Amino acid sequence: MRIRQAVLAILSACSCALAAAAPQPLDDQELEQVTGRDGISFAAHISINDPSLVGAVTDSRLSLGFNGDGTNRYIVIKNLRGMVDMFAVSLSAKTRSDGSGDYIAIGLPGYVRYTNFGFESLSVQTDPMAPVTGNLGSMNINGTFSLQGEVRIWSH
Amino acid sequence: MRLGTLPLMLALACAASAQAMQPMTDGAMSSVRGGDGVSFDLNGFSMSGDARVTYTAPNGSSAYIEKLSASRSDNSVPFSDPYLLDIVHGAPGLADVIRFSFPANASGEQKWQFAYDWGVDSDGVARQGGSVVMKDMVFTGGGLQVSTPQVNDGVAFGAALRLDIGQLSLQPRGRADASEQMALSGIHIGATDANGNLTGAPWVIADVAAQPAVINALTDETGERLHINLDWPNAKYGSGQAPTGGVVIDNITFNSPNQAPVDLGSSRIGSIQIQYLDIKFRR
Repeated sequence: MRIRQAVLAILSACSCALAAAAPQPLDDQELEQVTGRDGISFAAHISINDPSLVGAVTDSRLSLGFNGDGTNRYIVIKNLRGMVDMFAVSLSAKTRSDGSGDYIAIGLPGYVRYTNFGFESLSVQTDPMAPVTGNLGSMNINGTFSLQGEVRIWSH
Repeated sequence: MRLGTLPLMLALACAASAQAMQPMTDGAMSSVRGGDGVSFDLNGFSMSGDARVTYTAPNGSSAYIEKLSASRSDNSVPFSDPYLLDIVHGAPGLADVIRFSFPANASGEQKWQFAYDWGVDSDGVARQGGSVVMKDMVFTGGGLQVSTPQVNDGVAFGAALRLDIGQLSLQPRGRADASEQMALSGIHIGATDANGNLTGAPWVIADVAAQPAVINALTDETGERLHINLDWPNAKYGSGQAPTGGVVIDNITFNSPNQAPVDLGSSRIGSIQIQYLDIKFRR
């Protein structure tokens, strides 16, 4: 019985070895010529702190703290919120035309829509959670952008 | 017995591979450098749209820009002159620096075009300001630095700029109608020599070591403030003198329909040194 198991294990190992030997080795240049559907594209719908939804957060704060003379101070951005729709960003790896390596190509989205995207107030205060004092104002973006072209990134 | 020798052979192979590597001391390791920065560039970039960016003051008055369009022409040799992002050693005793370098753009091929509309709404009166159009904006070298401040908290930064703009025009009838406009043609900003002539080099407006700019929050006698500061030039890390820069405008002209153009000629500020700048925002 043990001999039969050993024979089976050896046959199985040989089978795997034969299957593993089938692929052909490629050098770097040959590998660079291999192409396929090797990129991805993605679209996004982002909704942050939408006040129209049930149970929405009404006092969200993004703060940046500083301490120069023993007193903490914070730049406080209150209620960063809004919606962004984006269609579509592509991401792929390509070979440089000058033959000096590869690069990441980020295709810019043809459609970006901002809906009430911005923040409610910007202030500086010693307590980041205290009621806002010295509000410097708010920023808001509404409308669409259409972008063309790509951003190329590589190492040096 | 033969099957039993396989793991032993694998172990020997791994050991042989490991022996090929060389141990390194900390000093040797710290000198290892590779592709440790990032280059990036745009290709065929353009954007347009109807988006409006609005700033609203606490009293309800607002100002906006909208319908921003922008495009950039590319270098004729792709990948040859990119933006560079590196982390480099700071001056002795100072923190490392994130360095963002603009393309050298010696040929001026990388040209930007911009246009946007603007307006204000205050006291119940909404006013469209028309369009701002910038043609052939060329950055030549220069860049930005980001680090930690030498004293106190905040974000320290440096900036160097050489900028040429073919024409900057304010067009109240819109970007497509230049019949009425104030046009500033041939704007040049950069470093100057002792005689006030542009040298062609970027004007170092701030440097994280020699004359740092800082953004932070501080407390003065009336409360907490958002604070932007350009410090005095530092003789320890630089010459102790603020770099000189200049602004040249080749021509300023006003145009109106059915009127002869009003040509104001050129304008020039030969040498500017910004020794110190301190801005606090308050309501």
